[in-house]
Amino acid sequence: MLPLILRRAVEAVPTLVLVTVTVFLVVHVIPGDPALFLAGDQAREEDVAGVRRHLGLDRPYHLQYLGYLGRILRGDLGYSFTTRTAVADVIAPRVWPSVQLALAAMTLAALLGLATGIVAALRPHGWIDTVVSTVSLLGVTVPTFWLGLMLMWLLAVHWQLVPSFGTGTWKHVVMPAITLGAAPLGIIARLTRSEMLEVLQQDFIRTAWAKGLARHVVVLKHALRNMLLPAVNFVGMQIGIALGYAVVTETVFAWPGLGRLLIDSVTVRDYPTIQGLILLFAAVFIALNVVVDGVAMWVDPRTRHAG
Amino acid sequence: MRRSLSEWRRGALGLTVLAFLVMAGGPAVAQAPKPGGQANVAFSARLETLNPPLINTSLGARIAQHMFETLTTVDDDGRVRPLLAERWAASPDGLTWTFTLRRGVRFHDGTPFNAQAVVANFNHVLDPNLKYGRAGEYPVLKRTEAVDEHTVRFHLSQPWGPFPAYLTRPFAGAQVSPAAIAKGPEFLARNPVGTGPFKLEKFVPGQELLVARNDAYWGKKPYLDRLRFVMIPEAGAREAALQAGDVHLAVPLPPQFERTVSGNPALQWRADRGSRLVYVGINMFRPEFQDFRIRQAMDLAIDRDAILANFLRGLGRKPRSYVQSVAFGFLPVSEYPFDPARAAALLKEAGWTKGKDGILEKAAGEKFPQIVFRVFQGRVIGDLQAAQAVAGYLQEVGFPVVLRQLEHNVHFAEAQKPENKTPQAISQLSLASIGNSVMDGSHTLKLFDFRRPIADAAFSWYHEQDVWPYVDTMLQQSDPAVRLEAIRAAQKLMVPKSVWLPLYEVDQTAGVSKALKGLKVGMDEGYWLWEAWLDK
Repeated sequence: MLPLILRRAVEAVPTLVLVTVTVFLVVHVIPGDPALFLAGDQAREEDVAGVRRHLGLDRPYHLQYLGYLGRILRGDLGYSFTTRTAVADVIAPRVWPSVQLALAAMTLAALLGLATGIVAALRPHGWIDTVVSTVSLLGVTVPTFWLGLMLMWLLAVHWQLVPSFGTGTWKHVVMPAITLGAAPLGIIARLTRSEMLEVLQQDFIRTAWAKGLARHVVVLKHALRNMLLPAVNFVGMQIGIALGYAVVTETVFAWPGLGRLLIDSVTVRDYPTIQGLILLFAAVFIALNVVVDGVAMWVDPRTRHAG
Repeated sequence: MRRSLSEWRRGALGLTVLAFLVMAGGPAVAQAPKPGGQANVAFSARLETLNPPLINTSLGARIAQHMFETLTTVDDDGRVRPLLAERWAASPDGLTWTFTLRRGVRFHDGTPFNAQAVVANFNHVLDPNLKYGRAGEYPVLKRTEAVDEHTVRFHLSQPWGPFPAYLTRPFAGAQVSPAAIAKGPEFLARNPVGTGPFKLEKFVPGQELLVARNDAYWGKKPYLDRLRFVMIPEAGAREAALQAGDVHLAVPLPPQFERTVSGNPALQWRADRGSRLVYVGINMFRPEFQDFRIRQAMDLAIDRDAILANFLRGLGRKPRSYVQSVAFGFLPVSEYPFDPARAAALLKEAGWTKGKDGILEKAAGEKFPQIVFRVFQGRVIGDLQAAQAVAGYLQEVGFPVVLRQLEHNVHFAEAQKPENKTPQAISQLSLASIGNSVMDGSHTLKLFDFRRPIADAAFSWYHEQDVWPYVDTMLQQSDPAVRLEAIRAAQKLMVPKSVWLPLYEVDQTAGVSKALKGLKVGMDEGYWLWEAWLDK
């Protein structure tokens, strides 16, 4: 495991450098001028020019990039254009709400997805299978935005079971987690069902049945472990996506996560915050890859010798 | 007859008793405010910093004004009134303004509010090292001087009549404790230290702001113990929070929520008059738009009543001038009739008739240049729908209009490009809006002064000199009567020229819990909770 982590850490360096170049280019190429936005509607041309100078945006691109890279190497993400506070201080309070939401949503999606997928696979084409297939299809196809608002109307307005917005207690997480977890839940359920159906046809499962093993042993110990790999890979990547790009869910529930911060920063062209966030997301994806690989090795020993 | 008279007497007696009961019930209707409690407000704006010159939305600044105060304030009738300054006067040459400050005022950190504090504030905002864009709000302010403890003098590079009105601006005009200013912008972003009726308890950038009553406030103390402002960007979620009883005020709410909010007996729909005018700017540098008949034809081709009825559900007003109807100096100049036949006649007079393809063309077959109409969505109620309707009306009379929807920031940046100020610029119209926080006609009309280009003026592109003397008078004179005359004269000059296509003045719409009493709504997105209380 340790060599894997070390190898991946070394491999991550060029990836992250590439990310800094790409993000720098993208934020500077997209139209819109942060100095104009920050200067306000009453600003004169010289005010806008002054703000641009203050932000260092009047310097040649290569100098701006080198300055940015130098700061990154010193562990400094720079200062937010809009608040003039350290980018790290802008991002830090958003990390835990995002982690909380991503973990809650993915736990819900993984547990329910696996359970319903297995149950559906054990009785293929039965009524349970039909219900699971229909519900999982709905989970994937229903727009997140609509689902969030419907949940809000049902759970917060009509039944008043949970608060309509905010953070702090488990009750606050319920609606955002269901909203964010619905689509991955549907995918995991369908993935589990098809993988399980395939595994249940394999010779070793027939042997297990022939040996007279209990049903739960055959399904949970022998079959499940053999079909888990695609689900583990999927959940791993989904955690990364939920951490950084749960924009719609975070917007609907006013959840103070990283996705909303990214969108807000793009709206006002807060370059340092955008760059800091994308760099963080890239690092998280790389780390998640390592974790997923580690879990895969544990679940399926064959992968330890692959690649 | 006697019986009838007796019945009359009985009836009169009954009415008297009823009137007495109603009168007796009167005081019960006008309840006495109940102190205590916390009001929750859901709002849409992004509030990432509480350093006033860096707050970049009007709504965000108004929220911050529960903690910060300015030297002057402006009433809904456009009159500038004292706040932290008690009185003021301009020198005869208009180059210095002397303000006498209110005594006994302290900032939330205990620092006394005095002339030195005012000097520190304006030096901070205009500090060339800090490069606040909001410095542009005080373009002719040279120096601020503390004459004595309670007298401050502003030295201007040229006379500025509406200067006291501009001191009401909540961005650069907000008075912050000099002790906090000394700690730098990073400290100010999270630590708002003003003189206002509420003081900071908790601020989570981009999420919520909790303020508590300032018991040491110099003025009338608020009834509420606390105010919690929660940032909910999605309008549907704001309304759901209101319906669930989680917030007492949801602001703003688009008109489509009027029915559901009004349908809940615990809630009230509010549509208050605002100062924002939505208009279409015309690129006056393009040769085709220099022809007055073309511009007037566009003006006549738009059915503003239909736009108001269909897209704003009546929650706005038809404009009558370029100055907002609530601002000082407003003069109704045009009825803005919808007359496509007259528009076609004007176009014919200018040599343009509709061709077989429905596009305007000249006799020689020359087609009217394609007009790019740059628009945005979600900044003002009904903006995109109104723009789509305008494009449709213009196409109806033969203008080849192409709608280009841009993100607001891009829209703003595109308008500022220097190439727009040349005849080679693309033929363009731009959707724009302007509020009038200072409630003064000059705030809008100065956009037509090409010598003073500010960011908001980029949608006008008007570069004739005829309006300059009026703008000079309204900006430099301090006599209200003289200023009024200049503001009116400028409208009489500009409106008939059709250099803008004003579309509508938009109301400010919100949903309020009936338990929240004493809410005051200002003309420029100001939802004031200073005197609010909860009836629970």
